[in-house]
Amino acid sequence: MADSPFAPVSPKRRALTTPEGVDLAIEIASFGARIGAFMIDMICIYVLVMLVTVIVLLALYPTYGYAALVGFIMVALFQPSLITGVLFLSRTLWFILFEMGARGATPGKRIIGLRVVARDGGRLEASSVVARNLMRDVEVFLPLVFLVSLGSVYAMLGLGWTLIFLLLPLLNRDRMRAGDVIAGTWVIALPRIRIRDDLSVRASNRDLEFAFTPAQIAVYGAFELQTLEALLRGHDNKALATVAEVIRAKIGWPNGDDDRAFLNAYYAAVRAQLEKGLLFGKARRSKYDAPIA
Amino acid sequence: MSDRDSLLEAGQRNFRREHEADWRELEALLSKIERRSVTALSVDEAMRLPVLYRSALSSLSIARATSLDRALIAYLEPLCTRAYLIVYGVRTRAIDGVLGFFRTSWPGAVRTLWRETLVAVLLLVIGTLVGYFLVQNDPVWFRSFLPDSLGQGRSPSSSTAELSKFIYSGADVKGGWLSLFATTLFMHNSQVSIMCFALGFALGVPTAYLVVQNGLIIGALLAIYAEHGLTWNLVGWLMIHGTTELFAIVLAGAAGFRIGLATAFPGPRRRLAAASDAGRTAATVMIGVVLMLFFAGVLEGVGRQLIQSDVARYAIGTAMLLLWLGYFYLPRREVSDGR
Repeated sequence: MADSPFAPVSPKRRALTTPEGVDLAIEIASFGARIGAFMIDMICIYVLVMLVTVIVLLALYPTYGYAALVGFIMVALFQPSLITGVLFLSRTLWFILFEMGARGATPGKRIIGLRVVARDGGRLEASSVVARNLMRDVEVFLPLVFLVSLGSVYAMLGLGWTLIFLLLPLLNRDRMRAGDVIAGTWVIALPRIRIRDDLSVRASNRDLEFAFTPAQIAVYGAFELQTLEALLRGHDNKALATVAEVIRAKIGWPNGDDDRAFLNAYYAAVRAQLEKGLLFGKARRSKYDAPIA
Repeated sequence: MSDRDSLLEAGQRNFRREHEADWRELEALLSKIERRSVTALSVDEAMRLPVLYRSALSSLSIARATSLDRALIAYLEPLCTRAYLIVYGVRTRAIDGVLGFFRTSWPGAVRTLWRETLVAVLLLVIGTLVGYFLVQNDPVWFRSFLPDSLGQGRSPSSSTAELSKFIYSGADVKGGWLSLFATTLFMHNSQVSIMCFALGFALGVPTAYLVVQNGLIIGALLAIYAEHGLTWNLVGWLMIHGTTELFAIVLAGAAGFRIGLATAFPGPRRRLAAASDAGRTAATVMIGVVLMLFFAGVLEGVGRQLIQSDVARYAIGTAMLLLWLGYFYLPRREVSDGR
């Protein structure tokens, strides 16, 4: 981020410098996003296991009739470890196989826009993926085991102890769970963002109507400009009207123009001015910095 | 506006106009790789990828330094990160990874854990001895070491015939049920071994408990069989799969200890670095442990039911043990294909 005075400074950003020397400033995923992704994955896994079970039973039906169903119920009743084993195996394989793929993410993570990366910025090794996923059962399901058998003092102690695992991501800045710690990984937010049109280009067709004087342009800095950008890209017309009113009052611009057209043209004018400053090595971070001559 | 100003503005617009096609091309290539694999690219596309990646990186640098279009930077940053992760992170062919795992990574990781492995063996032996002598002195202990689900009706009051039947039963079981039985055993054992590994994070204490507990069960069984003079037969019953299964459990315990040790005593390195090194070595061992447990499950679930001769059971158990020992610890030439 060192090469940009205006890159958003956020406590969730971490340096990841490529061999070419560019800092990608990756963003650590939030705990909530990770829980969301985990829930989606678990639902997918359970639905998948149920579907496969139904398909297998349907396939067995022509040969064995209802005996297949009865047999399945018997297994479920008398060998419950087989059922829990199948669930355990399918979720472990689900996470490991998907995270080993080119996307480094399970379907749940993809939907939320997350991805697993090696902390050192290098390749995500298979051993890392295995390590972080073999820890998961202890972190998530061991507390549940104690929660189910709650009542005895030992279960209470066990629950308290395992909750440390579960809540570990909240106890460190990098939101690492125990699996991430031993695997040398972290989970980053990597949303799919579409390229959006340039607001300056949108304005340029009309900027003949809006001829701002240098004094009118030199009011704001980059922070205000980018706040205006967010507003112009949004659809909150009420906020837009309020801001247009404030800016008109501040620069002494007559009322009467369309709010959006006015703000767009003003945005283009201010941005052109500030970017010109950047090219000459003069940055104006906010309106409190000195104007660019 | 002066000429200079409009020239600068034109430069800004040209920057995007000149590069946008490249960014979109890169995006398309990345999607293709992420949807399928690197091999889905044609030769031309594979040649384009690093060029487009570097062009996008330089665009990002330029945009950060000269553009105030936040949306543009917000688009370029994740695009460059995705490209970086693909360009520098994509694995070679999967088959090379698998071969490398069996040829170097797995036995190598097992060898580096030799101290922890010795400790785990020691704990298992201590557990066995304690279980044996406790049950021998007071059979009441048996019930606390072997819950009914594991004892399956065996108890210190069982007769010699009952105990013996256990060792040699199962020959009449049908094939379909045998594989189901083997699957159940495999899944149960892998869950236990993964617990051994994962609980190592709690400084290895629960791991030690799990390993000792395995020893206690063996010791308790040995004690009641010894009472009836069936030691030789029981050891055969245990050994056919036990050399593989217990070796796997010992390795899982060792993997857990390595994690616990590195987390508690990182040495001169930073704790996180030590933990992640240990975790990855231990995880490599664990992939192999699960494979070993699969073999053990087949030996226990199928082999033991079909093979009723004690001598054959001993022979298979010993052969498996020698096989594993040789594979892991026999000195070999270093294969320096690097990681």
